[in-house]
Amino acid sequence: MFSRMFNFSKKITILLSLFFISLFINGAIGNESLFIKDKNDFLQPDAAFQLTINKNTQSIEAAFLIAKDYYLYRDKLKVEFDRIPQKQILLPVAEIKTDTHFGKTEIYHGTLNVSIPFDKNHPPKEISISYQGCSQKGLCYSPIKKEFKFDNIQSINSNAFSSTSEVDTMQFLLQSQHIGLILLGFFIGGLLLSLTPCVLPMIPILSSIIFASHKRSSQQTRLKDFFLSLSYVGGVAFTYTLLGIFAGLSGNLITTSIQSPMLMGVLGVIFILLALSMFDLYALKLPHFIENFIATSILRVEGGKYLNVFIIGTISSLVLSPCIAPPLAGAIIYINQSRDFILGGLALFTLSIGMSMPLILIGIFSDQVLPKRGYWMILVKEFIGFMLIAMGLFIMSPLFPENMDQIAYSILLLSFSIYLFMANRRFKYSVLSWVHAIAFATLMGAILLFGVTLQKIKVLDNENISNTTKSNHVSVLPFKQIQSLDDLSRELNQRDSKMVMLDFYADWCVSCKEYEKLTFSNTKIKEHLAAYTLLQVDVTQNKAEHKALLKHFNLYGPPAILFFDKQHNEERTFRIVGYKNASQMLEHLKTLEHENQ
Amino acid sequence: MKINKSSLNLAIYILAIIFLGFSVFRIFSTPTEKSTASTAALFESTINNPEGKPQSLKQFQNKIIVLNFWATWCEPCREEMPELSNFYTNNQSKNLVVVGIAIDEEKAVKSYLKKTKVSYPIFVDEDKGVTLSKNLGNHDGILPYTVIISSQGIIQKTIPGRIHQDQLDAILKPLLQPSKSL
Repeated sequence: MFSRMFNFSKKITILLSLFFISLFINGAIGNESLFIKDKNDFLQPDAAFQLTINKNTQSIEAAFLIAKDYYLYRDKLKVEFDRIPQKQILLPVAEIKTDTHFGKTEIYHGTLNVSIPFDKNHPPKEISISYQGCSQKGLCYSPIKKEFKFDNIQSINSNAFSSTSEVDTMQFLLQSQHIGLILLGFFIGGLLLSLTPCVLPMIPILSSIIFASHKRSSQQTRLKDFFLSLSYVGGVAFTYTLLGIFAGLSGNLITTSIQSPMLMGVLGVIFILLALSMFDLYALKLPHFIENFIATSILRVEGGKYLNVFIIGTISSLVLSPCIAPPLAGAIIYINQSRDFILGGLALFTLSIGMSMPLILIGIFSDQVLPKRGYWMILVKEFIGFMLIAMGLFIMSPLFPENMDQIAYSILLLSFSIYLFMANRRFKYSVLSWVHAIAFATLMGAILLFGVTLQKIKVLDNENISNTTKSNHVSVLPFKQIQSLDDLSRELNQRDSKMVMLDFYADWCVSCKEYEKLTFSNTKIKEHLAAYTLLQVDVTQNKAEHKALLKHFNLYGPPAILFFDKQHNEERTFRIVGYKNASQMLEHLKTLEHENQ
Repeated sequence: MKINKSSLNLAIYILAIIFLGFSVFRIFSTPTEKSTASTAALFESTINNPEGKPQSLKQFQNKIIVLNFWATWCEPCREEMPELSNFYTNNQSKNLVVVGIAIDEEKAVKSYLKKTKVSYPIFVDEDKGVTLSKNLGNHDGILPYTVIISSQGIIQKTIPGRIHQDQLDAILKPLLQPSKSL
C-alpha cells in the first residue's frame, strides 16, 4: 500500500513538472516579441515622453520629461477637461525646427512644463492630454492620449499606465489600486502557510543556526539573533522573489489562450489536483537525491555569518516540506496569468515574508512565542486545500452551464462545513467552539448561496420561456442582428447621419442579460437610443466571423458596447466593456451626444 | 481515503498526454497562427481613401504587400516615401503592391498629396490606422511602420522606423523570385 502510494505521488510530481516545463516553453515562445523589442534602439512611447500630472488649486500642471533626441510638437498638444477641449494652455516658448513640408514648426526638447488653469469652483474630474512626438533617429509615435481621473489623487505619473479608453483605465485600476489588495492577499496567504506544518522544517534549521552562533561568541545579543533570522528570511524571500519574477516573465500561455475552454479545464483540474495533495492524498516532492544534496550542503555551510545564513535561506526554501509546493504552484499560475514580472516578484516576496513571520519571531523571542503546534495546523493546511479547489472551480467556471458554478461553490462550502464538523471528532478534540462556529457559519453560507442561485435560475428560466428559443434571443430594443465584419461595414456605409450603437451579446453572458433586463428596458434609455441605428452581434455560437469581429475591435468577448459617430467612425473613448446600470448608461449617452453636437 | 487508484492513474496519464500535446501543438502552430490571424482582420477592413470614399482592403489579398503606416507630420515617414514610390513603380508588374495608411487627418493628407506625387495607393484613418497597425504588431505606435505580407497573407517582416531601399530589396527578393520563374 505504501509503495503504491509513493508511486502515485511520483506520478503526480512528474505530471506537474511536465506542466510547468510546458508553461515555461510556451512562455518563451510567446515572449519572442520581448526579445526583439530589446534589439531595436527606440524607446517605448511612455519612456520617450514621461508625463507627470499635478493638480493645484487653480490649475493642472503637466510635466513632460522628454528623452534625449526625442521631441514633441507644440501644435499637437491638446488638453480636455471632462471631455471639453481647453483653449487656454500655458506653454513655454518652443524651439523652431524647419520642416521640409510644413516649413517652420515648433517643437520641445528636454523638459516641458504645461499649465492649464481651471475655474476654482469647477475643478475637472477627468482630464485627457493628447500629444505627438518623434525621435531624431528616424521614427515617430502615433498620437498618444492619456486620461487621468481626479478623485482624491493629487498627482499621477503616466508611466504606471497608458489609457486611451475606459477599458484601459479599468486595467490600470487593476494594476495599481488593487496591487495593494493583491499583495495583502499574498501576505495573508503566507501567514496562513506559516500556520501549517509546511514551515516547520525551517524552524529547526534556523534554531540550529542561532544556537551555533551562540556557541561561538560569548557576547551574543538578541539583536544579533534578530539579524541572523532576518538574513535567513531574506534568503528565503530572495528565492521566492526570483520565482515570482520568472513566473511573471514567462506568463503568456495563459493570457493568450485563456479563451480556450480546454486550457481552462486543464488549469482547473491542476488546481484541484494540487488541492488533493493538501489532504495528504499524495505528496509533491523534489526527487530524493536533489533533496538529499541540498540538505547536506546546508549542513556544510557555516552558520553564524550573515551571508552564509542568507545562502542557507535561499537553499532551504527549495527543500521545504512537500506541502508548500501546491499553494506555491497555485501562486505561480496566478502570477503567470498577470504577465507582470514586477507584480510577480512583489507577490511572492510578500508571500514569503508572511510565511516567515514565525521565523522572525523566533529571532526576536526564541520559539516560546509561537502558537503551540497541534492538530489545528492540519486544519489550516486542509483549509488551504479547500481554497485551491475553489480557485480551480473559479478558473473553470466559464465552462459550466449557467449558474452551475455557484452550485459547485455551494457544494464546496457545504463539504467544508461537514469537514469542519467532523474535524473535531477526527482529532479527538475537546470541544473546540470556534471550529464549530466556523462550521456553522459556512453551512449557513452554503445554504444561502444555494438558495440565491436557485432563485436566479428561476428568474432566468422564466425569461427563457418568454423568449421561446434560446439561440434567437429577442431583445427589448429593436436591434438589427449582424453576423460579420461585412455586415457591419455594409451597415456603416449607409449614408445616413445617425449614430450607431453596436452591442456584443451572448446567451452565456450574465451582464448581457442584465443589460436587457435592467438597462435597455429603461424608458429614458429607450428614448435616447431611438435616435441610433442599433446593431447587435450574438456571439453565442462563436463562429469564425464572430471571432473576426471581436478581434477587429480588440475585444475579448461580451459584454461590450461600441458607439459610432454620425460619420460612422468608432468613438473609441466611449466604448463600454462591462456592465452599466440605467443611470450610468444614461450619463454615458448624454456625454456622447454632447460631444457629437 | 479510498479512491480507485487505477482509474486515477489513467486520468493522470491522459492529462500528461494532453499537456505534452498542447505544448507541442503550440510550438508548431504559434508562428503561422499568429500571422494569418492578424492579416485576416486587415483584409476584412474598409478604410477611406483621401477623397473620403471607403475602400475594402480585400482588393490587395493574394498580392505581395508592402504596407506602410505614416503621417504627414512625421518627417522620417516623408523621407522614405519617394523610395517606396520608386520601388512600387519598378515592381508593379510583379504582383506587388505598396499601400500607405496615414494615421492622420484627411485634410492634411489631401494637401500633402497635392504637393508630393506618390505612385501607390494611400488611405487615411487616424483611429482605424492605429488599430490596424497595433493588430499587426505595432504595440508602441511607432511611425513609420512597415509590414511586409506575402501573397499567402503571411506576415514576413515588420519594420518599425525609417525603412531603406536596400532593406526592402533584401526582404522582398526571395518573395519576388518565384513569381518571376513562373
